[in-house]
Amino acid sequence: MTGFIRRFRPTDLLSRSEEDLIHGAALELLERGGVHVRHSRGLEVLAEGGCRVDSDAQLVRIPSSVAEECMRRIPSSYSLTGRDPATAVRLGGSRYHFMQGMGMRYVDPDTWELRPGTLKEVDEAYLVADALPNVHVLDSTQSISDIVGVPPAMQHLECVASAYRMSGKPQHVGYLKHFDEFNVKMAQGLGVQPDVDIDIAPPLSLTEDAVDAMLIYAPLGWGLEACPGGYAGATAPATIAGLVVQWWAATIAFVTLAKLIDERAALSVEMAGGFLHPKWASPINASPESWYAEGMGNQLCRRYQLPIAAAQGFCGESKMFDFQAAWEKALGILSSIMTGSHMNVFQGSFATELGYSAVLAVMDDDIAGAIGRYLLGAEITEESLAIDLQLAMGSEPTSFLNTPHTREHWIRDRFLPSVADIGPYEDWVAAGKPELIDKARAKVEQIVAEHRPKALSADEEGIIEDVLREAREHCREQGLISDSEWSAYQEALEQAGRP
Amino acid sequence: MVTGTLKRLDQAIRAYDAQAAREEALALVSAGEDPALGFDAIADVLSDIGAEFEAGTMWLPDMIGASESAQGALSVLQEQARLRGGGQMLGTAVLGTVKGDIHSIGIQIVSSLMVGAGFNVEYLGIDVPPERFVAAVKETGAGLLGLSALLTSTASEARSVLELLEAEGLRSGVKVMLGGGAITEDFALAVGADAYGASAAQAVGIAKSLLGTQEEVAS
Repeated sequence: MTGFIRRFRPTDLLSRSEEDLIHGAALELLERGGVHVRHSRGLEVLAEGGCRVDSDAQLVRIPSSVAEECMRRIPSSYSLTGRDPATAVRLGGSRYHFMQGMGMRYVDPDTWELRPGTLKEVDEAYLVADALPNVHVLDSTQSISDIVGVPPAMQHLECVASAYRMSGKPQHVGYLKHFDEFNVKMAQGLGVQPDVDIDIAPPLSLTEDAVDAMLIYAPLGWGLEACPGGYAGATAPATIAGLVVQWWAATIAFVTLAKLIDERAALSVEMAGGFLHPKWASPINASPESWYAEGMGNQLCRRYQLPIAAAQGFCGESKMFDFQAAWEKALGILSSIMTGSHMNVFQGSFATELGYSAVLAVMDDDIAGAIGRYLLGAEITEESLAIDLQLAMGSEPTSFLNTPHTREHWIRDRFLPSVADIGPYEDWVAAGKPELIDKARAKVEQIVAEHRPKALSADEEGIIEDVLREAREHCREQGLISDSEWSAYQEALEQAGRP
Repeated sequence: MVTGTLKRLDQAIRAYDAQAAREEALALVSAGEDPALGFDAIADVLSDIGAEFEAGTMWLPDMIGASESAQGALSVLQEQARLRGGGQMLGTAVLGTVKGDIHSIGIQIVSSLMVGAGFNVEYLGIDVPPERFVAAVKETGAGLLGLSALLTSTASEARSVLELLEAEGLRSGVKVMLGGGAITEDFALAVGADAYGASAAQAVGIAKSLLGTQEEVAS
């Protein structure tokens, strides 16, 4: 299994009584107010499970006893597997993982402009993610989701296919009508198991597509990641506590439906949303209010050992790869991890999800490595305490450099960044004062030139191509790809050297 | 016989075993072999370890351990070379951190690397008063004095050492190099030092240059 080990208990932000108040408030919302479920089969399942269903209003009131029973049956972890068995991930418990970030468009690191990415750049994004040691899961929901020439109906499946070609690591996927069927075919053909990100529309609503996805993926044993996404003051109460009550109620509703669909359903949660700019009401991913709200949510998840796949820290509002970008990411991710998250979407995301950059992913991977080392903590043993050594060395000024103990432990478990410069100042001057971004750029070029992912067999290549072909035909038949879009699509595929 | 001894000398240094390295050097000279064979073997193994250090497969404690393990063997070989009338050491150096400063890591690394390079090093430690530096220069006949200061508040102590050397009439016979976090090249030259070293690795090249065993100072 991959990932880091957290050697210490996460931090509680709430007292037990405060935690009970929020949990009780969420149960009250579901029992008295209810959740909208815009899906007839979903409503039937919930009714059969003991919920009070108003089919006309598509409103489901969930008794606390039903909700609590479903919450108690959440598995404390689940697996994601990719083409390479060595990269399997167990989400939950004391393990911690990083997931590649997401972004709509390609970021030009020279001009900071955002533009649609090409299929080749999508391939490169996944290839670099495959090479980075601290990316454990690929995010194929949106890593450069606006792709030149690729019709919207095929963008997600093209991303998923690219990720399979470029990496053996497990994937985190999204859901979409006209996508799910082909997504499952491709994964099953390759013998892999992703997990699925499914939204809960705020305040408390499950759309038809979302419930369709739950009905498809839950019986397959794929992890279902609940994503409540309320924004304080806009789609949720303006207070941190009120926002968390809504997030938690949405999570409980999601878990209840998933467990009633399939008792074996594996679950996790990503509390998205948060706080908005006070003047412009634009989303602010890197706000201490959001970080704290998510930390409170994490504590509630720990109440039921619900695996937490968090988004805090994955990007901020900086428009460049600069000091602001670094503190937004580092503080966000650390606050999330310290309060118990098991996985964070992270490397490469930029400017409120507007962009994705492989160059940024390389720099972010150093932050990930540093945090992974922090989680590992300190081993406390007779050997590590080194009492005998310290007694032998005495109290006079001396050096421990030339001791077997130092040679044994000097580099063990040490974090060494890939591109961040931690060397002496004079070496940096002597090297021509290189900038971090240039080193990251060079690293990307090196990876693209030298890194080769686990090779696809001819059969696997055939599976990917067959499913893509079938999906393209399906989308054409359904009128989801116009003639002009089809021409542009063919051209984009040709330019990318696709079969 | 010789091949086996040299191989064991190599292995002893790689195992950071100073006693075994010294014993193999003794075995070599006891067998009447040319000490130069031992010098070459030690140079080879330290060069290998240096290359691994550069490549990031070995680390500072490995370099220090190997250099200091080689020290005992070098002493034996150098003494034998002296008796034979050849194979001189690169020179004797006195090293230490100036008074009021207790930072030792950098100067210890310089000491180890200079030993590994073939210098006879008298390392005085930390918080060394000017009088002790001067006394050590007198006692050892050192041609080189290396001073380290990490703190800006202690850097001026280097000036005191140089002034005392001058007052004792020793300055013309000893080259002085300065280094450490608080020292700049401008400062070093302003207080009358002969050279400034920005890093431990540079210090070895500077020392060789100052003592005339290398033509150009690495910088």
